[in-house]
Amino acid sequence: MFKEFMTMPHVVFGVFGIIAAIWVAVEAANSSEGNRFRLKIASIGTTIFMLLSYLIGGWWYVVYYGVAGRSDKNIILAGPWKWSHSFFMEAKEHIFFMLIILSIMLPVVVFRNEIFKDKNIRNLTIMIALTIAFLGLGMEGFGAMITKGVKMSLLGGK
Amino acid sequence: MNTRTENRGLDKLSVGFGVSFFVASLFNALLIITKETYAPLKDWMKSLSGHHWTTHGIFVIVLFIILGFILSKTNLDEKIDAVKTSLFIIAGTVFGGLIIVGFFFKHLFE
Repeated sequence: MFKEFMTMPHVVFGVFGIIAAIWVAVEAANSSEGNRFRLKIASIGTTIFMLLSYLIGGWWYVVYYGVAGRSDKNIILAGPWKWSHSFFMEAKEHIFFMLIILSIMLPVVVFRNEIFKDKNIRNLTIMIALTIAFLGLGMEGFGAMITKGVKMSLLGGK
Repeated sequence: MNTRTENRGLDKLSVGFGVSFFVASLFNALLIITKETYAPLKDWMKSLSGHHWTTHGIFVIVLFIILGFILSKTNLDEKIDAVKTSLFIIAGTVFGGLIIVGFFFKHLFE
């Protein structure tokens, strides 16, 4: 039960990270001296949620996903949607690193610059936040395809 | 009333991390190709942490942070502004993403 339950925090924290990144984009687009605190909170939230998603998802991946025996990876590779591992999981687990380092960078830009005073720095902040949200949504979609790959194997390809 | 039109330079650390993201993103993508096509490298990465993916992540994140701090100590901020930093991040995302997706693309036809 613990193993099954622990697949959930990875997805939930990823969604929270996406929401926080969009929050950063909105605050930056409407930035003023009055919302600096909210901008900082949202950027830190993005980093924390994405790191939690990475650490919990990474732990599950290393400990459960690809181990010998009846693991998700082996179930997928024995079924009709092998590419849900060999394309979607392989791409997902490495594109995630780009998402993580962007999430680390976001608060650096927010904390060390006065976003509301420069249009180009504001646009940079919005662009980083939206890229995080875009990559995060991609990860959610890739994750859905991986889950579907397991289901297709268990259903016998029907 | 706050002014939003002053042209202020992007701080050194942000510039350093912006360029570092571009480098780390390409490094990430090229390391995948190298480890997937040269088994001894993958085995060595696995021997360091127990799983090649764990080592891969540590390499990418540590490179990003260390290179970001190193670049922030230079005068890169005199040449690279917020617009160029944005371009570095877009380029890193697009090229890094395309290399990864392109490398695994053939598996879609298995």
